[in-house]
Amino acid sequence: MGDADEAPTVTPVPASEDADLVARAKQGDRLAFEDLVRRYADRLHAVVLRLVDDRHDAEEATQEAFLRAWRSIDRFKGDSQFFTWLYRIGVNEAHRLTGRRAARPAVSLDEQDVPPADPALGPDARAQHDDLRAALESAIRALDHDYRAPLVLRDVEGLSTAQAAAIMGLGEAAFKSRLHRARLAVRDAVRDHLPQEPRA
Amino acid sequence: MITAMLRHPFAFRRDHRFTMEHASEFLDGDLPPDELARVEGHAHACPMCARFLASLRRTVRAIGGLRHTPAGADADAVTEAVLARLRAEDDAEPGH
Repeated sequence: MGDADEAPTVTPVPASEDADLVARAKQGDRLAFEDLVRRYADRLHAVVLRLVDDRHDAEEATQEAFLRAWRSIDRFKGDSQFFTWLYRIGVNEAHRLTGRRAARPAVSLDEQDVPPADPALGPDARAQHDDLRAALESAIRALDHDYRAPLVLRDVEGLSTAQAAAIMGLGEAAFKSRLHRARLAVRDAVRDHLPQEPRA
Repeated sequence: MITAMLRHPFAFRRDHRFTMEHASEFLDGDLPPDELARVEGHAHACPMCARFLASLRRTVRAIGGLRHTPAGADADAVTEAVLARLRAEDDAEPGH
């Protein structure tokens, strides 16, 4: 009944493919670091966007994370994967920005269009898909950073528990506890929108 | 459910709580075999936990569906903006 095979985890790029670029970047080769930017900017931005609630803040946090990584690449020891180190900088940057903007109402994400459902779906299924998606986005946005980040890294981005816990700087037990609480909160918020399980 | 609950009420309650608390680990395949069997056995006897696990599974699956449609800006534009800032800063302070 366990579903380990239903939730495939994702490794952005094999670590070995980053190692050469990282080594060259450590020597001051900016073009090598630019390749790392091309490799990870879109995924880091997607993570940060779900953490900060604001498109402009997400772009700022993404840029700042890469600049910090470039400035401090000498301090990257290679005892974790590069993207884990980079994502940690990005998540911290997002946290710092949301703290700074806490007093300001965040509206930008609400202005975004909901990405369209599969056109092959019928009108009812499309409406259901859009409702579920909007409910999920809203439920995730309602989570505190400490719970939202684990859920975004593990369940949205598909990182492994070990990778996501390392990015958060948490032990796996503490990470799993936060992830479970986050999932329960989202489930409670979207349960009326969930598709029914097909009967066996 | 009633049979299992009546036969071993304390064990049933303990397993019930264990299942609720470890449902995510169960779904992620992170439980050791003995604990996996404990949750599976309880879920067979407890319709409430079976429904709970099913709804949590559907929730996690739905969240995963967000992965392929990231909300927000054009990925190429984000990458170019990062590269532009990196080059501007590096040109201003060569050798970072």
